[in-house]
Amino acid sequence: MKSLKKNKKLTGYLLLLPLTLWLVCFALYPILYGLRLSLFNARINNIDNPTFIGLQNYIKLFSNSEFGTSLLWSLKFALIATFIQMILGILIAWLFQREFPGKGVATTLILLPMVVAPFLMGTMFRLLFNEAVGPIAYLLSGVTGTTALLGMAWVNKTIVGADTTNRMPFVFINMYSAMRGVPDELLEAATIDGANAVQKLFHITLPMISSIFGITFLEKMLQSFLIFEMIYAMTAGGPGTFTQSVSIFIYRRAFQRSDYGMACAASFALAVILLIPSLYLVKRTTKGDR
Amino acid sequence: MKKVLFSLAVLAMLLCAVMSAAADDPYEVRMVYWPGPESDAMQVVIDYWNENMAEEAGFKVGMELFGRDNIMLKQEALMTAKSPDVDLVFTASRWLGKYWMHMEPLQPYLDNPEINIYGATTDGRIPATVDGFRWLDGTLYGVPMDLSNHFLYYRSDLIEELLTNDAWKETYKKIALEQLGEELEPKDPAEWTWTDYLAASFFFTKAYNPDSPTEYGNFTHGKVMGPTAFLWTNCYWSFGGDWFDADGNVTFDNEAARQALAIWKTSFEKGLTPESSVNGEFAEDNEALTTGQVALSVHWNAGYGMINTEGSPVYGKIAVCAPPAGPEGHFAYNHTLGVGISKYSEHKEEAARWAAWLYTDEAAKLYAEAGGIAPSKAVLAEMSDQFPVYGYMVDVLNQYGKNLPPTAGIIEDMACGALADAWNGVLDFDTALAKLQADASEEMSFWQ
Repeated sequence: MKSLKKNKKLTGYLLLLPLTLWLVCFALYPILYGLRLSLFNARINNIDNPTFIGLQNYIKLFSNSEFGTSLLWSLKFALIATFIQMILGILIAWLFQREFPGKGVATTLILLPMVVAPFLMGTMFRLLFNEAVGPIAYLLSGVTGTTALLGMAWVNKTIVGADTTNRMPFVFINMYSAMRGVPDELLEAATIDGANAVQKLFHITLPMISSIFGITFLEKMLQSFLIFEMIYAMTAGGPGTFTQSVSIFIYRRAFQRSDYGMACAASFALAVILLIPSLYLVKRTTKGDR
Repeated sequence: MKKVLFSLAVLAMLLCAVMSAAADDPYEVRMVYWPGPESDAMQVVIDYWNENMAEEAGFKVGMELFGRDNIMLKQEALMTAKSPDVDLVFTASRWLGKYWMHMEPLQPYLDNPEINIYGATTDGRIPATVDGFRWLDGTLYGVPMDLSNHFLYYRSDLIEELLTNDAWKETYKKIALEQLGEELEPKDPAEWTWTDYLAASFFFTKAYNPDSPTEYGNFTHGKVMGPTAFLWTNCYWSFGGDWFDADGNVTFDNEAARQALAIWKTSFEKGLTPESSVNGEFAEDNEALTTGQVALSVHWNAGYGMINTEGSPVYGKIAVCAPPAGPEGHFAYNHTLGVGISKYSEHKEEAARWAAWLYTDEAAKLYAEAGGIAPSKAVLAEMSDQFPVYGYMVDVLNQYGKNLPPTAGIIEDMACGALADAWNGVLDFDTALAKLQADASEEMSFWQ
């Protein structure tokens, strides 16, 4: 009996081994290596023999106005993009709860941008919004009054629009599937009690899917806060540093300036900054489940 | 059982045959290059080598294309990992200061007749391009293969009309007086100052001249990347500024930088360049010129063949000259692309033999005939006879060409970020230049 128990335990450890090894090699080791590097002056010219400088990278980072501006831009972008995408995603998911001809095709079309890699999407948008030859820029000029959608006046709105096209489908599919799980009896009972569609949405559907809503909101906020590929392809953070997200800041530090120590310090600082609201949101979201 | 044994024996024989064939294959020297007209030209050189020279040399050559965008990021990964996967790395004169420590000094190999069996020397190349591949202590690290430089592109048909049409001349004078406070006469672009450049830009912008045949006067690159800062540098030099002083100290916070920034800012602020050009670069500039949207641009030489190509609406209507002059005269930025031996190559001698051959006029001629701009004195002279525009470009380069030191690559990203913030109005000139001066000086202190 005892040996059977021991065997079971051993099998358990053996089954865990591949994943543990994977995590140690490809997650834990790089994290620890990055943490170590953040305490060094490590550049491409001294990567063999970096100099230990303690917390100097962190001190310099928090006194760097560019880092602060990038954080602020990312926060603004995350709030605006998440708000727009959550509203749109919920609204479309709600509309799609009823049957209508061509629903399958419409669902596929809405989901299509989600399967395109953000960098590719950004490259496509860069061409489509091109002031000289971009067809979307030309078509939208009737509404925007300009074809310069990547100019100073429009570039932030254009990035939010492009990100919404790419990532709103993620909100839609989460909300749509969650709404499908709301029991029909509840909605029918509310109808009998005289509730209209909007009342049913706010008083029955949304409270019933609050857990999925919370997770989607968190995921969307983090995605938007850390946005990189789309911006890199469309503006590279410009004009100047006008659309420089915090991820672009880190990328430029690491790969344009080859300042690996500072880039690692910025990555860790960002991880800590994001960990606090993330833990709070996860705790709140999972509270109901327990 | 017999069948199984027989099958295993056949399989083993086949494996042996394949492996021995593979072992007989000569080594292939692997060289990184970037895709585009330069790699098309290099492929012709490589094909020639593999067909005619490989047997004598004892190895073949293959080219790895790492993508034009962020090629150095990918090479940095190889360098920091000390990877022997490539034998020659792609480089440029402006990047040498950042990466020379990961490259192998070339001169000892060139001086070794057992490796340099072709007797190649650096003498055939334009000296400035060879010097561009030397570190500050004079050590040579690479082979200059392709010249990249700046010109003022202009619509020759429109400028001709401006110089001959009296009504246009009057409008030009009027607009110059209104916008720049000076009554300027239209001039040949080769004689322009930056003020003439702005005057012509105003004249060819519909917002200031409703009869302008183009929507905007010029296209000014604004994307945050080193090359954007280099284009501005033509103007900065002409006002007497430079990135570094004679002692290698960073020198951005000065009056010349403010004057040059003012020229760039006028283009963006007054709408003389398409509004989206704040995020535009090489490709967008080509499109703006090709579609007839703009009349002028300070642009890269590599764009000429793409803009002035048969079938283009502006074919035969594009001319080039040196960028406009400032008080210190004209300057035409140039840098050279090339290759150097990776310090981590396990086949340095083969790589060096190939690099030595690349220094010959034979290789340069093949490269130039395939569309590259090899900085070989003899080959350039020969090519200039065939293509007059090409010859003119070389003349401009000889007369006004200037390059940045190899340390420029270390601070090019921060330079472009701060300069773009200044001309876009994100920061005022004083703040942007003081920040750039402080940041770049601090950065350079880590590279002493």
